[in-house]
Amino acid sequence: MGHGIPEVMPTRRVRAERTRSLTVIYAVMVSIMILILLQFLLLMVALEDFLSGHRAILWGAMAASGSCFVAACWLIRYVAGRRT
Amino acid sequence: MAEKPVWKDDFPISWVDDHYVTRREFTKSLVLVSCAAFCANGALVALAARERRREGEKIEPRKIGSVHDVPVGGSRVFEFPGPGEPCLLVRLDAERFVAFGQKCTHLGCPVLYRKESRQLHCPCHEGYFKAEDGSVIAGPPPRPLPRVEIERKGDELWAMGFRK
Repeated sequence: MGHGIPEVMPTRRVRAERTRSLTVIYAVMVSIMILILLQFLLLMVALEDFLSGHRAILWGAMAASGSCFVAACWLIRYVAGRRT
Repeated sequence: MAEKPVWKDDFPISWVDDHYVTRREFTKSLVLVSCAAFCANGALVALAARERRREGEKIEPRKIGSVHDVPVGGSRVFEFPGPGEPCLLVRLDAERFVAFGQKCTHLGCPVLYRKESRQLHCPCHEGYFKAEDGSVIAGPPPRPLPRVEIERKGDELWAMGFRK
């Protein structure tokens, strides 16, 4: 009695670990959704620019959209290895 | 107790489990959506580059019809410089013909000639252009309509190119 780690500790640890994983996954999910929203906004602006014949911001929009995609790929690595 | 059917050994996964999407899978599919948005942006850039290349090509003059095809105050659509590129020929009076690209400079909707006001009207967002020179009168269009040079050879009308 009173020696070693109590029986409930591993369960708590597992639960805490699971909660942490879930928080990370939700954070990544929301971040990627925000990035996608931004990309759709960029696509809308680029489409309007293209249809109006200006074509001044097409390259900029594509570069920004590409950055968003790279950021999404970078974020997904936090999720790829987890088991939740 | 009911015995487990034999087929369940071969197909142990239920439909419900098979269709279950985990958070991780869903998040991964979001990255595919992000990739698709990026590709769509890239496609727009490619289309714009293709159009720019075509603009640089020499335009061949083309017969667009006869003087008698268009009544005074009337208009007619023709394709110039190639198929799928509509232009609008307008006969302002007995001797004056003008032609413009039919795509509105706002978002590319086709413009229509209004005889009573002598204006070209874009019904999508209420853009108005002057029929004499294609300049913007009202609405969201940012630039005048591209003007097509018209040449009269006897009774024939020829489109020679776009005015710079």
